[in-house]
Amino acid sequence: MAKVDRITGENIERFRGKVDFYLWKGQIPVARSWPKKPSPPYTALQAEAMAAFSITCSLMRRLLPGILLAWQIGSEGKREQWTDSFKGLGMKYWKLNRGISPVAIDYAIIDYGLTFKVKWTVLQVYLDGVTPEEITEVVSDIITKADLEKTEIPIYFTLLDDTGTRLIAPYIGMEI
Amino acid sequence: MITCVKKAFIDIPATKYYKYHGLIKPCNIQPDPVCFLTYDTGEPWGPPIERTFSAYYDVGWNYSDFNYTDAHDHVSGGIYGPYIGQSKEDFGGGLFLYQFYRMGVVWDTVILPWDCRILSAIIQLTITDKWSGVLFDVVVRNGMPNFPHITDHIYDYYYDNYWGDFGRNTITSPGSFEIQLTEMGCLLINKDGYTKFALISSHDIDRVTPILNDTIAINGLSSFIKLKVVYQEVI
Repeated sequence: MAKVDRITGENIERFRGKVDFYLWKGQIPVARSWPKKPSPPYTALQAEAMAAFSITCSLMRRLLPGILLAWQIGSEGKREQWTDSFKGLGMKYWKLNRGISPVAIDYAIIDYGLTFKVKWTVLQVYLDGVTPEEITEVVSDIITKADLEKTEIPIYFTLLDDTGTRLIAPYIGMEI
Repeated sequence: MITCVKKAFIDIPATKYYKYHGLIKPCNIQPDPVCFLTYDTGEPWGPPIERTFSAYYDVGWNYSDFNYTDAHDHVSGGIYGPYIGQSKEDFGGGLFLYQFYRMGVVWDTVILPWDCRILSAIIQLTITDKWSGVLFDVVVRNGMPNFPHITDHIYDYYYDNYWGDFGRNTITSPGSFEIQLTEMGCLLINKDGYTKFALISSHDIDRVTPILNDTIAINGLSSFIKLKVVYQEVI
């Protein structure tokens, strides 16, 4: 993309199919090469990325109401919608691990009074399309409320894999 | 997995600046602060626990007839010892007597925690006799909740009381003999009461006509009929 002095009808017609003129953000006249839609055959990696994206998008429908609400609350006031975050996390995970990220489809707080645990329901779908999906429940170690009361609010929790990569789970606000 | 606690105004977007064609432009992004507390998060199941149950009750049922199908499908049978298989006895003149031996086993598994997860289960038996060289599988079939009964009951013999294949193993020479239950078989283990199965010859199920005495005898002492269960409790 390059900035141009001005856009004229003559230039638009003259370079149609080769150069695309438009106003970037409705203000700055720019030119770019004529957009081309990638067409098959894709590379194996492109095909895998497309499959990963498609599967990740389909997993949004599997969220249960509690966690869906957490996603929606988390995106209020932001430019990025929760669906963008969801897909973004999925593709980041794929880039690192070449697999579909586990998705937290539900969560619950198990309250013991002075302590609590977070229980996640995690859906794991596989890219090969053959391995059956798995739904497992995972529970955090005991979290002591006193440890969090000393902390300035707000505080949030989310789910990471063992290497510290964020899985597809929202930031959930914590009320102590 | 890790449950990560973050301290930040995550609900207020942070701003990232970038330069584009000489213009500095802002862009809203979600802040991603580091975790200040992390908690290991795993499956809420404790370590595997192994428990072996001796039989609460075991029984054999037997029926014989000169017509194979009539004997096979008869609705009742006599109470017999713990034998599994079928036999054919030549009475001369083209007359053959067909006998069927089926077995029921019951364990009291109520002691298992109601919310435990069963990982595997094995039925352990001891074969005391094996008469012919014919090999067949001993198949675990289900008739719960009604069949078999936990006392002698002649109608427990009936073939149609039982269904499925929840584990099988080919018979061996006399000695210890094990049948690994399938995943579905493990689900049938009753955490609220008695676990009951029928043990039937695969040739009986497939209606393969016996050659000779294609039967095995099982040690019927309760301590020799075991169900070994490996399970996990909820933490």
